[in-house]
Amino acid sequence: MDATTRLRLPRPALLPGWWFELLASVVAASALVWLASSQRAPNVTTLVTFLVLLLAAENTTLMLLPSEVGVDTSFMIIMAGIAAYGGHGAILGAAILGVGAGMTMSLLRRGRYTVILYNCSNYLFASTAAAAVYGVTRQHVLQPLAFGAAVIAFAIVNVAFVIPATVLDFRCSARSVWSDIRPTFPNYLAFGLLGVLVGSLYRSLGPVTFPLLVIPAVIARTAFASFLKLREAHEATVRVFISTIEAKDRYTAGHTERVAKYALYIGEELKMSAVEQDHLRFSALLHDVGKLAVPRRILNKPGRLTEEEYAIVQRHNQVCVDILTRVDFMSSMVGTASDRHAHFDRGGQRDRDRLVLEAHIVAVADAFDAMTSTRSYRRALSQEVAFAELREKAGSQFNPLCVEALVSGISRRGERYGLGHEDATVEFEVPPPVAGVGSAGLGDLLDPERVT
Amino acid sequence: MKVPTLPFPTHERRLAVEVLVVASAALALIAQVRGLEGLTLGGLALLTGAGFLLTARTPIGTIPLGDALVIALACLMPAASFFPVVSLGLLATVPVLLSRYDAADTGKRILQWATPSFASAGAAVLTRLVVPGTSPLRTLVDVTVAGGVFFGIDLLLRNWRAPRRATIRLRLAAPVYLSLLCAAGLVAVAYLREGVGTALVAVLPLVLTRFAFDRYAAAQAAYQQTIKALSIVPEVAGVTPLGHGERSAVYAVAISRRLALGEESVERAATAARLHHIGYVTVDEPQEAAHAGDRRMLSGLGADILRQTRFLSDVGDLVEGIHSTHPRFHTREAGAVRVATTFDDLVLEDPSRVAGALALVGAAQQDAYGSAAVLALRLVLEEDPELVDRAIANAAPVIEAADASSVAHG
Repeated sequence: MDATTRLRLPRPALLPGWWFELLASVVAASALVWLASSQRAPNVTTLVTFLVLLLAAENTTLMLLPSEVGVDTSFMIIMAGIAAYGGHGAILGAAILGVGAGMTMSLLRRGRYTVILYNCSNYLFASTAAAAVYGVTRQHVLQPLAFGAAVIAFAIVNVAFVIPATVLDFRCSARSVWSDIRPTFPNYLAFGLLGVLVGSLYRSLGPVTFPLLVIPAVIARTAFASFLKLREAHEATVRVFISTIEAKDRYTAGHTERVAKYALYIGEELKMSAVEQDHLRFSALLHDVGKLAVPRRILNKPGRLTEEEYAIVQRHNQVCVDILTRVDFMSSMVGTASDRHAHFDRGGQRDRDRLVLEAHIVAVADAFDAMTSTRSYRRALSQEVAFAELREKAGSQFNPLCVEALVSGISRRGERYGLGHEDATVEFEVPPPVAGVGSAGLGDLLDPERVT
Repeated sequence: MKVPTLPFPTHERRLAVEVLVVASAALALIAQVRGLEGLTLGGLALLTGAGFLLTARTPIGTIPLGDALVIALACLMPAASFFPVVSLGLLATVPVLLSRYDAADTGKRILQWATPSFASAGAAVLTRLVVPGTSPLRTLVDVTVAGGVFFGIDLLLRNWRAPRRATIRLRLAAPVYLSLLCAAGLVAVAYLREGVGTALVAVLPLVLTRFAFDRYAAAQAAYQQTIKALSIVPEVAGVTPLGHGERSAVYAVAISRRLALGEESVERAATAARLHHIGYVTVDEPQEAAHAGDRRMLSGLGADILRQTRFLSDVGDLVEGIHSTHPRFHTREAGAVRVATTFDDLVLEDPSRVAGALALVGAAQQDAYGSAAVLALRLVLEEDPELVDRAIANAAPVIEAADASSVAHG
């Protein structure tokens, strides 16, 4: 889930857990009525100031924290509000701010009314709990500890609301939701305390405090938006060149995308970080860039290549990769295209040191796709044969960890590839033989006697 | 000089930052328990050192996040304590710097950090003398003045070789400077109102700033790598000399900057210079197409590929503009790219051809933009005679790799 603190991106308007969301909203509305009648009213100027800030943060993209942070700007502002109220009307003030935090125009425009109500309820209870805990503890412990306790109370209630709704709406296990949320807990504490600091300073300095927090947040957000745009540009550029490669070599249509997909399966199994997986994806997408330099007549030749043609393919690919490995720090990115670099046991210790995991991953993904796709020189092999071949060469040609990660990633998803399971088949001028001795990129991967 | 392969993230630097922060916390704790004022200052010095080493990658280079702490300290501490603390902090960074750079470069970096730090402290002292007072609002004014002086000098030191570009670089650096200034203000008032512990929380927005700028810098580096990778393809196919794209990019950047084009235009021109032969990849037999010589058609094909990406449409226009006679493509940027690529076609790896190449390129230009670009190139070569050598050196890894590959693979 994007932000772990609230429900987002539901489709359609009514999700399976709508009844739960509605029930929680009724309880929250009753609680608000009770709080309004029993609690002291907060300072109106402070309440309005923080409410305006909250609605602005919630309904513009300017102050959004990057999704990797895992907490919302609203959370910080609510904690700032609690600190700014001090002991005067903090509980009711926090409850009202909580309701405000759920008012998201984007959800309203899409008609996700039950989700809005649930988000309001979630934040109402979380904010009220934080204010109540702060109110009780501040009389017994130091201020920072009291605020720390308030932040923890907020996080607990918030998570307690998010887990059941997500489980009901998205039919996933509570354990998986919890494992998504768990890494964000340190951020709760850090950003919660930052909110508290701003609230405390607001009490002594007034609204002059806000720019000190809002300006860096806006700048960070803008830089992050530029990053996203740049990544999109990168993605678009790579995709256009992939389509150029595939237009040139029509027999391998979809190969690059599939290799990227398998590489990510392996990356996930090996618990690579989001940034590493991003890099891995681009490596996989670029692994065949050398083909752009190979004459079309050779790429599209039906049947097997002559020795001379095979040498041209290999030479172009090799020269391209050799050049790229020496350009800046491209080595880890396109070293993956090189059979020599990706080969697990070749090249001696010095080369082994340079080998990156990415190269091993892409080599395995590339080999798997080559075996499970029909090529001009061979029909697709079955998934079982491909797995068996990868395992056979694990430790020599392929990194065993990557092989097992691919097998596990595909098996876990229950997906099938290879003979009888190909997405798209190409009409060949000369029908490919049922078995062959591998592919241009793989060398003699397969022993023809073992293939049926 | 040891040149780092990456501007910021090395494990040893991060380790050094962690060691300094932990040591600083330990000193602060001992000082608290034993009531030793000197140890507190020692801890603060180590924290300052860690701050200098912890940088954000920005469009104008790496900027230490510790600048915010230094500005805050300049406004909070008496000068007699500030100078030893910052000096000790700078000293703490020396071993780490020496492990990555030579002595001269280390000295240069220390000077670049020390000068604005001490100047900002001087500015803070002056402000306090002129307008006495100790309220938090007053501190914010101090921070603004000290920060203004700090970043002014920092910018000056970064641009003293190219003062013409100072305005452009200020625009690029302004967001980071502003973030640091806000963080300095928050740290200063938090310290005054809430104490040391809370002041440390105030640096959190800087973590976000660094995260966002680092992600951007990493994405930009990856994108540049992809562009370089693609630019080499026609060279490997044998339709254009090896290293042509990289050398042309160096000339395109130099000409664009001499023409005072904006930073985005400079970047576009460099990308167009790198990718101006990309149209060859769509042709069945690239080498035959090169010999056939229909360059205009090939530029058009390359431009079409680039336009398909949506994000490189303007680069596509520049590529098409190299050989097109259509007035739509006649711009200053296109002139710069055309002159840069033609110049390299003539010079290649032989600097002795420069004079002849300049004359030929000048004679071939048919519009005012091309002539202006030739004039700009002529001026650049006069001001910077090493430009051609630098361009050749920039492409050298590509050529060396190809040679090595030829030997290895026959």
